[in-house]
Amino acid sequence: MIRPKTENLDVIVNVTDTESWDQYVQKLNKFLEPYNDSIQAQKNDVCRPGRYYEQPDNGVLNYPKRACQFNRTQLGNCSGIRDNTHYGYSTGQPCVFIKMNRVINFYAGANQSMNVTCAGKRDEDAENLGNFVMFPANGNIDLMYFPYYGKKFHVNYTQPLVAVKFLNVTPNVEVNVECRINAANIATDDERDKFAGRVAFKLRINKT
Amino acid sequence: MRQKTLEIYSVELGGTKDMEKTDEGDGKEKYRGLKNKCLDLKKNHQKEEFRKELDLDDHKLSNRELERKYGTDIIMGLSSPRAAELLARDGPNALTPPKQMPEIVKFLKQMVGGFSILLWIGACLCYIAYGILYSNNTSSSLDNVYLGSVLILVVILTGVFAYYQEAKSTNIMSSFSKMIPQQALVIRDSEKKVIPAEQLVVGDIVEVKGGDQIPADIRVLSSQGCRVDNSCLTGESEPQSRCSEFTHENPLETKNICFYSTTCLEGSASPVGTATGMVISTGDRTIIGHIASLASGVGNEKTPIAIEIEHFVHIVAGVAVSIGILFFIIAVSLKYHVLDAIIFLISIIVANVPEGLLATVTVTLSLTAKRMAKKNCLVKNLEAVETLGSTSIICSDKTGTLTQNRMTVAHLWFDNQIFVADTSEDHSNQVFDQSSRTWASLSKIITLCNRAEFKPGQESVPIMKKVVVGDASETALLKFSEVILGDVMEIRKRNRKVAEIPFNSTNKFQLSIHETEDPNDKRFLMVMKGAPERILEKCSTIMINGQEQPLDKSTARAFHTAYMELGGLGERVLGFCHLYLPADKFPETYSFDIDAMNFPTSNLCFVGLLSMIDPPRSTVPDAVTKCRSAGIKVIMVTGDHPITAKAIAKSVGIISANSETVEDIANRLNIAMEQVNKQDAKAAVVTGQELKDMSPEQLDELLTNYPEIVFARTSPQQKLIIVEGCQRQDAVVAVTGDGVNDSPALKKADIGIAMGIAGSDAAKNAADMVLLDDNFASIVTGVEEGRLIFDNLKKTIAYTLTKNIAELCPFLIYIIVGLPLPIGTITILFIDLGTDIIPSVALAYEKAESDIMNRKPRHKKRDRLVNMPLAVYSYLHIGLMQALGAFLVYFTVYAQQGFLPSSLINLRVEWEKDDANDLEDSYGQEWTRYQRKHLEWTGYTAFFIGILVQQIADLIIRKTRRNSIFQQGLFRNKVIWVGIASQIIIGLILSYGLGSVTALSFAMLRAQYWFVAVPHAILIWVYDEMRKLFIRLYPGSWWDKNMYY
Repeated sequence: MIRPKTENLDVIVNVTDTESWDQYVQKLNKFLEPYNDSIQAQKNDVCRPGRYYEQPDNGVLNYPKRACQFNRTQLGNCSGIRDNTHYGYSTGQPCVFIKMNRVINFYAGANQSMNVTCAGKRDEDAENLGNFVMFPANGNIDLMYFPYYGKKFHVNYTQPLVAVKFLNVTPNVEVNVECRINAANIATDDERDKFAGRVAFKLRINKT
Repeated sequence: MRQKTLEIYSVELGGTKDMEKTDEGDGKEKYRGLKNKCLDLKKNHQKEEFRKELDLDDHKLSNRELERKYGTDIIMGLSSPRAAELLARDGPNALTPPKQMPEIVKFLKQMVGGFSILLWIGACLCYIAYGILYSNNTSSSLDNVYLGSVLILVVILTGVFAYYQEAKSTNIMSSFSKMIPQQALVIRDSEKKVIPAEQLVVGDIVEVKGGDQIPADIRVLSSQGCRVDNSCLTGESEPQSRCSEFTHENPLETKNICFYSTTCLEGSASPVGTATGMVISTGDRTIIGHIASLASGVGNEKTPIAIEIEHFVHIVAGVAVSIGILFFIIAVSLKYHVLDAIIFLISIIVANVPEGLLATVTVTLSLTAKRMAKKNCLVKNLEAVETLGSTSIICSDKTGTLTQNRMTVAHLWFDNQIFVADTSEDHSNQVFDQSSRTWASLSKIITLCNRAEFKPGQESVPIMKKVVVGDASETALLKFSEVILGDVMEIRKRNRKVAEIPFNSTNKFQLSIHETEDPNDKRFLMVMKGAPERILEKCSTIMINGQEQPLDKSTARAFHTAYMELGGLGERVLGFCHLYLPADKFPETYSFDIDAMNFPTSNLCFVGLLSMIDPPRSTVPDAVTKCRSAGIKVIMVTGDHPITAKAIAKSVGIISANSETVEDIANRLNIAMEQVNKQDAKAAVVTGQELKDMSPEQLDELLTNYPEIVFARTSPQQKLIIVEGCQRQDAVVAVTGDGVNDSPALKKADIGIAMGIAGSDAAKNAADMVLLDDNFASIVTGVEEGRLIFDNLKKTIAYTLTKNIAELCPFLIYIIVGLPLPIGTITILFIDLGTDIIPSVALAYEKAESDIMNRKPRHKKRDRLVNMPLAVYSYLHIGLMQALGAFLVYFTVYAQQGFLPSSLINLRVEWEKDDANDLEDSYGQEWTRYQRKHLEWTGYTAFFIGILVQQIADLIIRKTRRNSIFQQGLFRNKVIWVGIASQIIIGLILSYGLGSVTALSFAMLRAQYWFVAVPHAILIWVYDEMRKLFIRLYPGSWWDKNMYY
């Protein structure tokens, strides 16, 4: 799924009309708050990247689990920290955040690295989409954020995010964007479930 | 008319005068009502024809006048062109078959009957809803289309099924209506021709001979010993002679008219009786045609079970529509989208309507119909199966149904003693004293003075079943003597017949002269039989213990006493006498001249009396007793004489041994009839004449006051009046009959029962049921089956209604509490039309819980099929328990997947949002729309399995309504277990085989979810056992009244 969460998965930005994107910004601010480095440092562990962070019960049933740090700063230009562009919405270079659905005890990557890729749905969409950058780089998602143990025992779990900053979307055109996760255990071609391992949304930057 | 009874050898004493008196006026009266009814029924031009027909005066016309009237020639017949012309004008000489409803109308009726109309509306709403959605958003989901299509499919399938079932049961009957094409010998263009009887026209001259069916209404022009059996018209089996003379004002009584479809008897006389006659009316214009149209004019009443089912459909449809509308309003006021509210409405209706039930009822009824057919009750109209069970009055015809329909020797009187002969079907047990020499003489007379003969080639046939050429009395005597004496034909050969005077109506006797079998005895033996008083007149001596004694006053008195006694039993009495002609006056070479009567016919020796009756079938008294104990009143309605009717009624128990009529009491106490306290009389014998003078109120009073009633000498119209009278008492009336004259009453009755062997086609057509063996006792087995099916239908309905609550609750809770939908509409249809069908049919095989023949017939207005306790117990007790159990499975599945029950409340809106693809559950997991949908289907399947498991328990508890399951036997009805197996197998196929078909919304279910509802199922069983226990422990208590359905 994407953040900001919108009606019908349409991200529509009127650059000159502050109100049109202000609600997105508010939502994102709220959404990203738990990722603040200070909070992360206070509550979560620094884990070893590149491998699952498994925490067996070791005989104690439902032993509370620790979560790994995902710092807001990892989102680079999309972190919104000391950001006058309001995640790029005020300049027509919006950030959209991609997140995976949490599933308990799910080992998504089968010990291989995972990353998110985005593209225009059709050829013209690809053209209109232009360039974009991803944070963390290449849209990588580290294995250390898995598995998830459920909110009761995995209290401060902050799920990993990938931010996509669209740099030069053709304005005044609706662009269909599809992002998918490349992971060994996630099928992205389920005909019936259009949101299995992928997310599709519409992006439209209106400039006058 | 005065001659009417002359050809009967003897007349019932006391009955004679009464009868003749009756007939005088009765003849016209009998048919008056019929005439009026016909006129009422038919309108416009047909009316004219009927009037003309019934004012028939052809019998009064001379031959010449007839020729002129019909433009024909008695010698030459009609010309072929003229006949063709008349045929074109009047149509073929055949009865118009009763109007059949066109097949397509029958089919369409099935399509809109019962719940179908509700489902049609539901389907339409589905399409409308989809249409609206589609116009807003072309990618809208196809769910509504699926549902609409499935609903239409359901309606069509159940409609086709019901139509097929009905057609199948109607087909059984069509075999009856196929008659062998009849031929007629007609004179046309001065030539005798054989043509199909259908082509006869008015004015044709036809010849009939013994054994033929009369091809149309015929005015007899000339006849030779022609006798007809009018029983199919009047119910009287007495043969009547036909001649060309005009004997009675009433066309129905006069002797010179033969009626269509009656038979010309095959007499024993050597020249077979023949007659020539002119056709005076054909086809529907014949008397039979009138009666047939009278029958078709009588409205076909709705059967009690049809009323019950209608009542039930109304209740369920009423509940469905009112809950549906109520929740529609609630949904709208809860700010649901109107379109959604419509979908809820459809779902509620679908959940409430037991779609499979009507089909189940049809199957159940046809199963019983099959079972009854095996017991010789062929059911024409499926619903009649139950009608027989609720019958409270049976109006039974006498001849053929209660009796064997054959004259049989019942009593003998000789040596001043009355002996009883065995009248059972096989005559095997003749116990009277046969040592007396008088008997030797009597048996010789019986054997020799008899013209009846067995048809050849029947050596292997038991005597009683052999076909005989001869009339009823002679047949009886022939069989009687064959049984006792052995080969009658051999005895006759040894005693060669030298002369014979056949019976004729003026002599009222029959005599024959024989050589004796003793070669030393050169005397001739003259034997004679006839009307007792005429025979006695000719006698001067009487044989007592083999000795001839002079006939003095005391023996004459003894004779009269015996005659009276036998006559009083309703039996036909014959006297027998003989005389050995002295050898000197009548040498061996003597030539007897029967015209000159050159031999003595007086001063004979009286030997004995013999009386005959059409005896009751041996199974009937037992069957009547069973009817009594089953609370069914048996009324005899016959065209026969009151005395015979009463005698038979007494012997079969319709009038029980210790009950008396007003007349009996008057006779016993020797007081006038007016002085008798009517309360003392339990029985009544009412003649058609008396009935005619009664007002409907008096008839009602008669029917309510007397438990034992015999109606004698009744006309078809009066039968109808009697049936209507009984129906006014709120009774369910069964009528048995065989003749055409019975057909209006058969039609009017709640259930008409025709005789399969003796019955006429008209009777079979009018009836709802045909007794293949003509045996009254078969009715009793039919009653038993009918009662059983009523009980079992209750069980089936209770079983079927129960799960409706479990199907309905999900929608109500969905609307109000906002849970994700627990069960889909299509899933419900899979329960109603899939898993539940075979089990509910299986309940039809359940045995009776107690002796159902020992209780009163159900009251058709009070004892409903679906009553309050049944509805309350099924809906609110077991139904709610079942709903709880099913919800338990549902919540278990959701909780195990991550949604705890508390999180489900008011989740509906988020849950159903198509773009919410990261809905969080109670454990922090996130769900895409499709994943949720899949979970929803798993929920449907779980709910479905929950209901299924509990329906197994429901099925088991429904085996009985009062007894414990263990008293009834858990395994006695094997079909129940077939039903349970079918439920499980269908459940397995649906949840594991069809999980991938999107439209059906099933999903694979983990095996353990099958067992979640098991404790609930056990609870249901225990609860119901408690209910039954308290009912048995405290009969009549509040509990019994409210918990027994």
